[in-house]
Parts: sequence; C-alpha cells; structure tokens
Amino acid sequence: MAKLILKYEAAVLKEIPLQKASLVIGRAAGNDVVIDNLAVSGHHAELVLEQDHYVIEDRNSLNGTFLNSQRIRRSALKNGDEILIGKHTLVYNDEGGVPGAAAQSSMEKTQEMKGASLGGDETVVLDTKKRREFLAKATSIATEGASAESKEKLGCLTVLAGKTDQREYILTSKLCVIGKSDMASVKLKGWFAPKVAAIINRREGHYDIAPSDKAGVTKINSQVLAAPRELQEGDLIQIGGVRMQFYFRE
Amino acid sequence: MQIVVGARSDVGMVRQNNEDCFAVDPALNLFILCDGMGGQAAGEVASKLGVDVLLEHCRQAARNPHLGMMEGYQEEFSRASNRLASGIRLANQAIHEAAGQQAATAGMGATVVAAQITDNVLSVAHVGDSRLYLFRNGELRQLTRDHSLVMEQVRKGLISREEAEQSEMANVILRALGAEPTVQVDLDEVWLAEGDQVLLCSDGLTRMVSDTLIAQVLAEASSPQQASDRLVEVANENGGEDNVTVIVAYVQPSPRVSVWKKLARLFLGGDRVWPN
Repeated sequence: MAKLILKYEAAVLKEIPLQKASLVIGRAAGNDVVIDNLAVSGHHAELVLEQDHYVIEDRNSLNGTFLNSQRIRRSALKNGDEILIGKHTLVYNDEGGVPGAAAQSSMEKTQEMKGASLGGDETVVLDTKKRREFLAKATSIATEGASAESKEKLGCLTVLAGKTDQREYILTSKLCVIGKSDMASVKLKGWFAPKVAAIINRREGHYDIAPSDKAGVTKINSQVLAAPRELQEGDLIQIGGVRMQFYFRE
Repeated sequence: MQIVVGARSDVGMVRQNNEDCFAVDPALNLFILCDGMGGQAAGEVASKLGVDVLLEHCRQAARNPHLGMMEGYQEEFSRASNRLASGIRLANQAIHEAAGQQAATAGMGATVVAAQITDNVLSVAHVGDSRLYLFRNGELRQLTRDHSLVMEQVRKGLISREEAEQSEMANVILRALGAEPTVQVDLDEVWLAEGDQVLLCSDGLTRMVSDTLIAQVLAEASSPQQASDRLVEVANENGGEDNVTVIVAYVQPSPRVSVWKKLARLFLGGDRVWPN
C-alpha cells in the first residue's frame, strides 16, 4: 500500500498508510494528517486519488506547499517525492503496491457490472487495477506520464513597441486573445486597435496563432497572418503600431 | 455571432431502451450529452442524473457568479470551462452516491461531453468516449480524446485507428461518471469563427458512421436540425447497434439590424421584438 512518511528534519515521526481517496493535511484537529506547527495552516493541503495516482493540492495555505522544493498549487505525485509543509516533510512512497488500492473497495462494485464481459456489447468501465494490468500487458510503460506538463516550456510575449496594458505576458492559459476586447488577455490600447486581432492557442507544449475574423490586421515577421500557424522562438508579431516578440522560457 | 442548435436522440435498431440523455440550453449556449451504462434501467438513471446535475449547476452559476466550484480548478482555462468541469465532478459524485444506495443501480455509470459557447470561446469538457467535433472549412476535427482502452493504445502507437474500430475491446472505457468517488475531467478551449459547426455525439454515431461520412452529412445539411436527423438516420441505416444521440450547433453571423431599428430600440426599449 502507498504511504506517506512524516518527517521533521531527519527524524521520522510517523508513517501514514494511504487508505482513502482523499487525505487532508493541516494544523487543525480533524485533519487526516495533523501537523501541529504554526507554519502550517488549519487546512493546508490535500492528497487526492485520481484514477491511479495521488495528486497533492494546496488548499490556499498561507505558507504554501512545496514539492521537491518547488512551490506548487497542484501536482501529481510519484514515488520518492518530498512534500514540504512548514518545516515538516512528507515523503510519498508507493512501492508498497498500487496507489489505487485504496479505492478498490468501491471499485469492486463497478467491476461486477451485471456480469458484462469485456467482449460484450455493453460499454464497460475498467477499474484501476484491471486497467493497469491491461496497459501493462499492452505497453512497456504502465501509465501515462501525468507530470509531463510541469516540465513544459512556457511561451512569452515581450512588447517592443506600442500601447498595451503590460510590457510582458506569460502565456499560461489555453486561449489568449490579443485585442481591445474585454476578453483579451493581451490588451491593446488606442482608438484604432482591433477588438480581437489574433488568438494564441496553447496545445501540448506549442503555441498556434490564428487571425480573427477581421483578416489582415496581424502580421508575423512582416507577413500577413492569413491562416493559423505555429509560433516559433523569436517570431515578431505586429498589430498596427504594436510590436511583440514571442519566446520560450523554462 | 449567433448560435443555432439542432438535436436528436434515438434508441437505434437493436436496443430496447435509450440510455442516452441530452440537454440544450439556448439561453446559456450550453450543450450536454450523456451516455449511460449499467443493467436494467440503471444506465438511463445515470445519464439522466448526469445531465440534470450539470445543467442545474451551470444554471445556478449563471444566476449567481459566486457559486462555489468543486475542487480541481485549472488556472489555464477560463471560468466557463472550469464551471463545466465543476458541474461534471458534482454529477460524478451524485451518480456514485446513487449507485451505492440500491442494488438495482449498483455499478451504473455514464460518459459525458459538454460544451458551452461564451462570446467566441467554445469550452469543451468530457469524460469517457462521447465525442465533440469541430467542422470548419469542410474539415472535421475531433477535439475530445476518447478515454477508451483502444484509443489509449492508438495514442501509444500500438494499434492503428482502423484496428481500434474493429477491436472487440472498443467498448471498454477507462473513465466514466459514477465509477469512482472522484473523476478527472478533460477540458479544452477553442476560438470559434462564423461558419463553424460543432457536433456532440454518443458512440452510437461514431461506431456506425465514419468521420468522412459525418463530414459529408454536415456539409450537405441546410440546418442543424436537418443535420442531426440525417446523422441519426445514417447510423440506423448502417445497423444502429447502439443508441444514437447528436447535437449540432451552427455559429452564424448575427442577423443584420438596420440603423433605424437600432435607434428605435434605443428609444423604445431594448427587449421588444420587432416584426420585419
């Protein structure tokens, strides 16, 4: 069974087996894991079982939750990960078996779905354990890399000239609208700025830029943007008097 | 921009009851489709519950923007998209709890695909193998990734798409509402342009009708309702082995309003409908 090891500096204080689908960590009594230290918020963080892996989520704590010394809001856990809360460390260990084992009892019901066989006509949901077996058989990699996204490079826009509401934009959202419109996250100013000039779409580590209905307002590297295209490091985006450069940062 | 919607649900040619369920809210431009599973009437209960809970959550949120979100907010997506995810998590909880209460409904579940159009942004949320397609410039693009065993294998490059369609494991899905206490919801966002068509459908359509044929039907239809009817017909002509449900939405230019009418509205009150 997967477990958490609660440590204070080098000393191991406690081992907590993960038997539930959700575990709340905090200073207040009534938490699943109580850490009595002033640096810890009442309800500080939560461990949630998602499909076949646990995810750590900060519950808007005052001092933050750190995973392997990086402050996180939410992140998938893998074996050996160290969660720092206040001055205490929680080491996540899933060597003991399937991290989904805890939810198995409730899953058992699902599995017995009216004796529907896998080859039958009815749609069947695979429970966590079965799915692992299937995927393990089918692939050498048992599960998908859930933490791949955290390593993704982020795209940025630096404003070189013209009127905008910021000088630099980090493109974290899925859709980024450039224009004067209220929904724009890159806001253009000035009388003649178009409502929506272009839309940047983030898709698995790369960024596509598409023109709005009003074609011809946006230029990339001095060429009119007529159809969607992928943004490359160093691309110059020009909309009227505004010039911006796209680049990636770690 | 204005949205025009058509929809149709049909039991198919083989099944006795329709376990699909859908809802369209034109005021919110919200579309929901669930495909239920589980013996006897349980599948119908699950899909109905899924649609009702999600719809109610979105309607409440429309009245009260401060309505709480179920945990799991994803910062990279808009509030509207997160609202869909929140409603789906709530629906999952409701189905999961209901399934545990009676022997008759034990093990019931449902897939869900939901979409909402806010200004130009299409928010998409899904769990399971019901799909959403975008039809743009004659090209049909599937925006959702099926949470099914065979599609997982396709993504890993183990089998081809054709093999997946033929596979007897095609009915095995990896995620569903009600299966577990919590559920992971996939979100997506797309910028819509005039002329776009959005299609939501249950697997009863996509298992019977190829993408090429779907694209052809969408291209030829003159209204979203006609497209929906025709898609269901084609699925039934090809065997109709499962329930078929489709929702089709057209993104159209707003009707032109003359300057005089605009002025009249300004002075005489905005909400009156003027006969042409």
